[in-house]
Amino acid sequence: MKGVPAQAEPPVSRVGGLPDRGPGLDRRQERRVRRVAIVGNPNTGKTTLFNRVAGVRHKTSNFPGTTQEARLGFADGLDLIDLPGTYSLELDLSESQICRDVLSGQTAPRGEPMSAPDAVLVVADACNLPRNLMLVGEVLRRRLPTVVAVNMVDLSRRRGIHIDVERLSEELGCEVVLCSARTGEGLERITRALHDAAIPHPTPPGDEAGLRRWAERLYVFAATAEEGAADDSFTDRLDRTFTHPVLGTLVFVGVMTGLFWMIFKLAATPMSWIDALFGVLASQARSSLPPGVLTDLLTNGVIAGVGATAIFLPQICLLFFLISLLEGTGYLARAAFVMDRVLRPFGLSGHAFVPLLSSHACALPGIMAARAVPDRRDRLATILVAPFMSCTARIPVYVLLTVLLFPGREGMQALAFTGCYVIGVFAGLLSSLVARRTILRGKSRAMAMELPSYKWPSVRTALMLTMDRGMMFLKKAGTVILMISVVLWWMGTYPLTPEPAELIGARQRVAAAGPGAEPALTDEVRALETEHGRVSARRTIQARIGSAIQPIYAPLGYDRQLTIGVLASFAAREVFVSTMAVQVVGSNDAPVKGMLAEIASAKRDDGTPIFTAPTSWSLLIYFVLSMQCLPTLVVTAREAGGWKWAGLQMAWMTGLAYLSALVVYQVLTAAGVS
Amino acid sequence: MPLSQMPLGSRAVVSESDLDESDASLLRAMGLGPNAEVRMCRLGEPCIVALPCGCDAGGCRIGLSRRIAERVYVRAMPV
Ligand SMILES: Nc1nc2c(ncn2[C@@H]2O[C@H](COP(=O)(O)OP(=O)(O)OP(=O)(O)O)[C@@H](O)[C@H]2O)c(=O)[nH]1
Ligand SMILES: [Mg+2]
Repeated sequence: MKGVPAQAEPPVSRVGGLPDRGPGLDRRQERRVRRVAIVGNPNTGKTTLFNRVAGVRHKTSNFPGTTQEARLGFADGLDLIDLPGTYSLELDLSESQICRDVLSGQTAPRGEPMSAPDAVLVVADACNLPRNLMLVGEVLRRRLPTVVAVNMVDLSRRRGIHIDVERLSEELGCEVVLCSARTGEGLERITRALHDAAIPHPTPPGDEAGLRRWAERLYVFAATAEEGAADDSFTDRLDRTFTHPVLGTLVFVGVMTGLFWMIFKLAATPMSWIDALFGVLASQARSSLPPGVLTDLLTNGVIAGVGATAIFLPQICLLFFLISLLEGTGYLARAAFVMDRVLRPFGLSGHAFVPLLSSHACALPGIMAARAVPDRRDRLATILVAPFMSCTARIPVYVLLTVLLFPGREGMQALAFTGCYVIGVFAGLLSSLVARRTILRGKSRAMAMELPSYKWPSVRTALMLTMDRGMMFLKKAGTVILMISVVLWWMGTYPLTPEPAELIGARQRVAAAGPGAEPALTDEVRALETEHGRVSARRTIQARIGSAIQPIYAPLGYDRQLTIGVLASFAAREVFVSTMAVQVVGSNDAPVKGMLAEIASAKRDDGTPIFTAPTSWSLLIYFVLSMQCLPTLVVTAREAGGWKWAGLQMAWMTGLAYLSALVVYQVLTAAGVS
Repeated sequence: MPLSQMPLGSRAVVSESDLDESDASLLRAMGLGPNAEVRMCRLGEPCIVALPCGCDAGGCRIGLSRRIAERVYVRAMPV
């Protein structure tokens, strides 16, 4: 598990099961390994601490409810289980249930005996101890060896809160450690304390009111706050601005537009570098290797396919980087309330905001995050519409098509690019409305959510996440996309058609005439070569498959080659671009600069352009709306509790995509747009 | 008096609520239960309250839909 990014692996655990520890690790033999459950209120830094201690990089953000499933990590002698944050162990919410199950020993890592953990680490927020101590009390009552980590002391010190660890630990009957998961302070002491942890002796009261008084008394006893050290008026002002009906909405629109604008703008330069790099690679390969099938495979299959995908690395990295910074500030919880006003009429609640926002990176973590939506019907609606949000896999397609529709006009490109995201969001909202009027009748539940304190986002966290996601993307380009590109190249090359006798004869005559050959003769050879290319291209496997299925997509304006592109994108959306790149290399008469430009100006064998304006618009709409992601369907089925939900999602999205693209193409064609 | 009618910036103590049990238990666990001291930070939709939790330097903030704020009742702070 070491060094593996959070979302690299599919979410594997659910209530009642924990991820596998992997083969070959029979650590149960070593008696000294202790299983430790990490519990605490939401947003207290549990995952940040877990990441530091276990050396992993799971997702953290300054928003309550980031972790929604149990995860396993290893530190020396400790098996750590990071759990979702919960306000109490007794609530009827999924996060509370998961913590209960782990603490009572009703779940265990696969292949291990069900048993309660050997120790519990309660992570408490030093800036909000009284409430956090209530959860500490609930845990102490379970009489498991316990250590309390009072986290975020870097912030509490600045606020003038002094915590007397000795007194606190004496009262609680267990070790208390002051720490900061961000700076790393105190973490070594925590691991040591976990090894030595013993069952605490005093038992806090079991009833809620009693527990509350117990926590408050403890706090007064063990902590002191400097008079007037903290000033809340700045936070008050920020909160009022961010949730203001008008100002708040403006800020929100500004932030989101700025986000997507920056992704489009800032990525342009590095994209052109990568494009140039692959261009050089291809021409180097072509000129230095002997002509033949292998060179062809390398340049037209591998380099074209992988290059056309790798170009989008900067945009994908920027998206993850910027969203991670935004998540660190604490703004999103405010935005959730702004969005609550917008989402409510569509039958979604403000709780759906963060799941939908993260779906813009990838629908999988987005759907997982929907566990934080407390109401079942609200949650189902959120899961159903989450894949309408434009994920990073769509970015390559959007960029290709917008560049193609508005060549050289960057402003319009950025606008159309942003427009795609807007269309996706609207389609999601309308679909939710339909669902809430039919299969999921009812109103969304009113919101109550903690607003985390504003913090400076951690650039380190953002960079790490970006690196992980960037590597994942490259890995995909180097494996799945590479493989598909090679297969497509193969299907587009074979079976080979032998050259006709005419062509061979003409060639021989040119060769015999030497450098002084008549222009008419060389022209004849060229014409015959073109004709031969056309005939053999039509006989390839790819062409046959394309032609067979093309009638389905004909009303949408897609020809044989685009049909292949759309079909291949069922494997992964971004494959569309690499597929088109592999299909069209060398179809241009004049060499064009850049991979995207080459695809954009590609021609069919009869000389007509593949991408006309109506076709491109139709494709764009198709890709915004359609469901082309198997993993998403699997996660939907699991999180929604049945394959019928996944089937519904698939049918609805694909149907909507097909119809919308059909309308767009037919209307534009009828209007004479070309 | 409902929470939603507290003057801006004023302080009060939560007395009771007539929310359904799932909402009420969540609020109690969040610290917004009977006898909790609250300070009103923003009125309307959403309503934002700060829970000083015994000291003004710490505590937390909770955002509430108006629908919830209208059904949580508070009384004046005991002096
Ligand atoms: N300044 C400071 N920030 C911290 C510290 N620990 C965590 N944070 C920040 O607090 C926020 C919440 O951290 P997480 O680790 O996601 O919290 P969590 O307890 O896992 O949250 P949930 O999964 O939602 O329950 C993040 O923005 C962290 O960067 C700390 O010691 N000091
Ligand atoms: Mg977490």
